[in-house]
Amino acid sequence: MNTRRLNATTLVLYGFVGLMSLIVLLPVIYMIMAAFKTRTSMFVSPLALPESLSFETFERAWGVGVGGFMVNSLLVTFLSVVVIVIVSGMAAYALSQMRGWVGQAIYLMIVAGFAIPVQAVLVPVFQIMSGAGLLNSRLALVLPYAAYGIPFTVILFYAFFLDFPKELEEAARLDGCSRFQAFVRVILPLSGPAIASAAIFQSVFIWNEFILALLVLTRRGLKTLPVGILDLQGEFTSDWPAVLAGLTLATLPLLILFVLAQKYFVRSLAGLGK
Amino acid sequence: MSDVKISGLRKSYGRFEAIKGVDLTVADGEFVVMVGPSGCGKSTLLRTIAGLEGADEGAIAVGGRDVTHEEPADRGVAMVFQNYALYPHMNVSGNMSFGLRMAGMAKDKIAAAVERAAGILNIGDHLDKQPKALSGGQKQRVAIGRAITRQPEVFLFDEPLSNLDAALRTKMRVELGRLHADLGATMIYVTHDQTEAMTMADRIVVLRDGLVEQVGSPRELYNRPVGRFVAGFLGSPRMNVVPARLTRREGDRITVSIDGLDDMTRPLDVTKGKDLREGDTVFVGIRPEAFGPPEDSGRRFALKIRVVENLGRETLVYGTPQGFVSDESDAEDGDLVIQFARQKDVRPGQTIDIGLSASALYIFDDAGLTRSFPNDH
Repeated sequence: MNTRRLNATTLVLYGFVGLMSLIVLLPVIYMIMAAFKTRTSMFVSPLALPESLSFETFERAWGVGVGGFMVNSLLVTFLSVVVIVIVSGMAAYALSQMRGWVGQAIYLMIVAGFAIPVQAVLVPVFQIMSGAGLLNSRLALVLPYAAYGIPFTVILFYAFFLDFPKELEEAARLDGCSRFQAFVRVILPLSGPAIASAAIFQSVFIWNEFILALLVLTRRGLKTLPVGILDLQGEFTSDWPAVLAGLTLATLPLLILFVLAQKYFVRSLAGLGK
Repeated sequence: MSDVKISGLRKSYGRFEAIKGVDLTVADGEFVVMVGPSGCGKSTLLRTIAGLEGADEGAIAVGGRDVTHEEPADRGVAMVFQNYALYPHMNVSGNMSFGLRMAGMAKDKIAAAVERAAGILNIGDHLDKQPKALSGGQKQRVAIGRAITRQPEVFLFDEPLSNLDAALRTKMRVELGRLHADLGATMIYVTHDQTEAMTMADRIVVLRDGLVEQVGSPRELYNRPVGRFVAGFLGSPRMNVVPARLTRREGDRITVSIDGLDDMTRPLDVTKGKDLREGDTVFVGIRPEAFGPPEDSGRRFALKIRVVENLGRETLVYGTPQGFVSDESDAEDGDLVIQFARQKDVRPGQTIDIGLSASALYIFDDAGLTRSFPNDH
């Protein structure tokens, strides 16, 4: 009786999870499938499988600048993630070692920063970037992305460092390291899981970020993928397969990154909430 | 010279005063063990000597040099941690040489220092292994090796054997003793284990609530504790303490009475402290091994046995004495612990006669200070 009920529950749960997965995966599968179709077959039989595995659509998408957008996205993502990881790592380690209410108060303020939506500060950020003469430069994205990524990454690192044996830093200090040297030579090399998951999280956010990029970048040569693909849609209103090929190319790097580092990602998330 | 001189040391965390003014001198080459219950400040004191905690007041000198405000690496000390604190991303050799590499020492000299330390500790075969591939005992040896390679003036040990099992702990205790003899270095060792303190120390420092309660050789502290705290802390099983009444005082002789036993007269060895008067409450301390056979001990009482522990060469008996109760002992509910230095065929539920000689008693006043010692101490 018990086993049957358990089986029924398991079945319902699996069914539910499967359905949710389908809702997420179907558009992705359709995007990849349609990227291989011709313009005609796309409208005549939208749900049919592609007739051949031709990369023509990808070539067309690439030809209008997806490659350049991708390089821009890579640069902005890489720079932002580097800044986020370094600043958040040092801040979180210091905060995790601080005794008393001061550290707690600073930590809470940083956590509070995480709760402010990007949209709420778009106009001030635009004005600041404009005032600083940074519009249409990569810094106009890197700086706000870093500022927005730091609170969450501090939370992530903080949870990791709470479990980090403080004796390791102390042993390093007795071995002649300054606090900074101990951080760089002992703590950072042992923080792989936290760094990997922080990098994935922030890469996903920055890679896909659209509104801020749309506001501060108007020069075509600097545009990132999400904004660049918007242009693609304008030029190819009737070439949906090329648009979807562009989107597939845009999604691919993140998928690869996630697959490569997903074990760190899961391990680090498991430590959150401390 | 690598003596350590601590004077007027104070350390607080917010409102909590962890060290309340400690003065202590550790001689060159001495093995000093600091003991005390959790929260007594022993680890804080060690960490302050290491420079991992800053002192609020007072001074620390190593080899005559004031190091109070020096960085940990510049104090001439090396520390072995309870959880080993080996760098997981370096192999054994990397762990042992890290300090020397940080100091910029030449590669051949580093290799020689690592080889020497590995030889002393018998870990030469493990130099290429990662810490996770080592057993607890091997990890502790590597941690000690890391300290040795730096050739410090003073070794600091923070409960280094606590994570090891009982058998390995005994083995490492002997090895540390041998290491101290071989190196002749000054060593300061923190533990809450009184057996480690008694077996390894040249001198023991007993700490309580951030203050030094007593300093002396293991025998001195065991035989002539300044008070109930030290008397109870050293010795396993701990001393039995029984409340009594001071019934008579004639100059430097006092007579105490325990319910159900004949009065016992003892010399007043310590006159400093509260003036003892007739009617005062005092406490009588009896070591578990100090009870004797009823026929030649002077006083006798009946003991109803509750628990018997046969330890092979000795027998521990936990039981309820007739006529009085204990105030403190390793037994519960006012019972006594009695140690027989032989195998004894007794069972729970049985009542046996126990002898007690007046000459084996410690007498503490109600402030906890020792006022009378046993005859042979």
